Amino acid sequence: MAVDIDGLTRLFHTKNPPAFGRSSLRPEVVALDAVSLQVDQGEIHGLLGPNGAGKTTLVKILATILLPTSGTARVMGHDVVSDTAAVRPLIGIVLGGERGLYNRLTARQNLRYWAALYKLEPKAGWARVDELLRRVGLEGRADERVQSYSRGMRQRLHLARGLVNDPPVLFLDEPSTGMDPVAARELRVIVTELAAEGRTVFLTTHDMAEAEALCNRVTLIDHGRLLATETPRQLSTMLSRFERIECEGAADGVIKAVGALRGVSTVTSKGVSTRIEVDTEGVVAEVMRHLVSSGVTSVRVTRPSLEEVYLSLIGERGMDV
Amino acid sequence: MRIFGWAALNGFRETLGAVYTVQSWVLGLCLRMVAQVAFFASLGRLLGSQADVEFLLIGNAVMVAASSAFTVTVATVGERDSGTLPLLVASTTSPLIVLMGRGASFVPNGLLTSLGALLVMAPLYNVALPWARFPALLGMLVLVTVSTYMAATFLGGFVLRAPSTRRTVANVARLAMMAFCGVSVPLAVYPEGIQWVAQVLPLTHGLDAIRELFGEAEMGAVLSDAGLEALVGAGWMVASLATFRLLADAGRRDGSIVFSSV
Amino acid sequence: MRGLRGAIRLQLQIVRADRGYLNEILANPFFAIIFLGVVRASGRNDLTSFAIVAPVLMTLWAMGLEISGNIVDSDRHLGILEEVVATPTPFGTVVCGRVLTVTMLSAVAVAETWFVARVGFGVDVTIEHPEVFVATLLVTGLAMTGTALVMAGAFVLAGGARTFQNTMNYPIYLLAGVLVPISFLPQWLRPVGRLIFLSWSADLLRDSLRAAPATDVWLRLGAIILLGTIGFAIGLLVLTLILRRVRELGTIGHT
Repeated sequence: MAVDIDGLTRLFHTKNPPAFGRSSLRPEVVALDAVSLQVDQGEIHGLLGPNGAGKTTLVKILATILLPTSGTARVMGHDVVSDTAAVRPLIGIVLGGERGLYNRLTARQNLRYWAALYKLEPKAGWARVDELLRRVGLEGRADERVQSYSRGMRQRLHLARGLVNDPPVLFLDEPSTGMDPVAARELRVIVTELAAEGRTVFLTTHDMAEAEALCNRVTLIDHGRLLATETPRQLSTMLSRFERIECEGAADGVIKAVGALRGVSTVTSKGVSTRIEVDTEGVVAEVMRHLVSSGVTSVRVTRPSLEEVYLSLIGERGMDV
Repeated sequence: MRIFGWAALNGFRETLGAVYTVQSWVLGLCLRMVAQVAFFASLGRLLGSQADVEFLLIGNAVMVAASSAFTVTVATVGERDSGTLPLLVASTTSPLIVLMGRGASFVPNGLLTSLGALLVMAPLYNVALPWARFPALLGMLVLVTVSTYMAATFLGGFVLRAPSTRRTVANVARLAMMAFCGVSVPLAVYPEGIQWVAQVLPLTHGLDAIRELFGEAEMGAVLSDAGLEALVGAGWMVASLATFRLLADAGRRDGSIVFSSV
Repeated sequence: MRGLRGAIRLQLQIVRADRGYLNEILANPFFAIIFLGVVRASGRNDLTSFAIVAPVLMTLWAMGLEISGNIVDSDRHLGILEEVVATPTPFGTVVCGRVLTVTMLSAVAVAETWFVARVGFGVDVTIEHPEVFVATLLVTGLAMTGTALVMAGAFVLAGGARTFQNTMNYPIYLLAGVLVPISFLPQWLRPVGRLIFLSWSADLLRDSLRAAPATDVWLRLGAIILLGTIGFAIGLLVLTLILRRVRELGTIGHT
């Protein structure tokens, strides 16, 4: 097993004590609540959840940057708290974003620095840096200052940085944030290649489509708690179960007729917009055929948001238009 | 004038609010400035001459006030950073007046610290303060600070064209004044060329006047040196006004007056 | 160590890219001019060594103060700190390497001061005891590195460096007798000055420029080494504790 998490909990104390009353009851944010998870070697595992769900906290603990409050986590068999020296050479971290790079230096200079910190021999390290720059497509601009880079380029540089020490385990925190679709697509290709090389990739995202496209398994997390671990296929099933059709300009008669179709669960109208929810697979096509043949031209199929999938998992109904 | 006052008030509020907390202001400035004066005054003790002690103490205490004037050189870029400079340039008031107003909030700081340094350090180093002519001393301190301020504003205009150099320019200017305006080193030590340049720099004549006050020289001598200092200050003010509009115009032409600096 | 070399290389690149520490390097000749000018005016040419030594030590200290104030802060601000922590190289090594680089750069002050004395004042500075001079410089540089480490830790704990950076120059120069020897300080202040390695460095450097034989050299060098090592040890300890605390509290990476 590449990653073995058992009962991992992380509490954060809020900065300021309460204005009134004694602060014996320290206000706490539960970022992670007894999380248990296993990731196999060579697996691409996705951690899916909305912002604030605890994804980044989990990644930071696994990356030995943050200490857990309780519970254990092992990476490649080594405890992340007591055996950090063994863990660190084995992992690559891509936290991404605008920060994390020396802006006034070039990409090459940045990477060479990390190569040194990861204790690579100068010659081998520099060769590796060149190779990585090629791999992420930055070799053409490797000797320009990072401050001139676009968000997508920075993200690619972050990825290169995460690969500097050739790690068997890679942690990617929201890697395609801020990337245009083309760049995001390229990223997915690279991630797939990395897994094909035998690496374990643990990535966090709030993009369901991405999780579905890339991962062998996806774990759903919300408010620090794991909800479920599914394969993308199962996710797909869940999604299609909650697909909905939204249309505009449909006459009342048409709406009534659609509502009477089998498999249609709810029809909600607001002004000129109508939303039709289905609870059986395969009904979507029929509904759409009906709408289009009735002359409704503004039709689209939407997938539920992450929030709605969660809420349904916790057993509540979806939300209004 | 109203605009000057308004800008100064603005500058005050920002200064007090953002730059200093009361504690850090008291601790940082006072301790450091007083130590600076003591540092140079004690050099006089090393030289073994009370005359030197007095020379060094007066020069460096007054320098404290002059130093504070250089914040305006840095402040011009602050204006640029906050994006208000283009708005100033576009306004009908001379941007110079507004900028001078904003930097002005630092001046009382410098004056007070300078005065404080004199009052505290002089007795410690056995230097007699000219109590009888105290108002004149105060007046001279103000004059010296204002004339330095004019020169610093002049520099501030140039610094607008190359904002990343502002701190360096302010530092070098301040150090040059420390070296060549008779603060610690009597001008006679330097070659003639430098001595001539020093004549048109702020502080040089003002220091002469102040030292004359301490030495209980004739008021006539004091007044003539004060007059020269005022003349120098006025000259720099004219230079500032002249070049500032030119620089603003040039900046407008080549687009270097942007809404934020790199 | 590869990490150390990487840190040194990085710092050199940063200095070049930022044109950093320019202020200190530019200030040095001015101080040399001022001190030499004062000596010249007073006719006390026996005090030339004082005028030479002071600017060098002032620049060394000022640069050390600046790097220690910047180093942890700017990495934290840039979000790089947590990435550094996650590497196999100890954080202390990285900080040491970068601080050491800046300390060594301050050797430029020696050349500048020599130049000003020679070209500006026609003073030929003869180093009567070159071994003492060089040894003192080296050991002083290392002591500065150790002290900068403590300062870096202290600045992080204090939540900022600006105020202290502005305060810790002239008072230190005064206490440590960088220009005017400690013997001119009131009795009760002298032990405080002796705790600052600069005081020993100043005395030794001045002695190395004078014809008279330098006394107790090993003892005094030892004092500098001791003070530097203590600074080093405390600094590493403080930084380690800070890192541990930050890993616990989770404020690493947050501004």
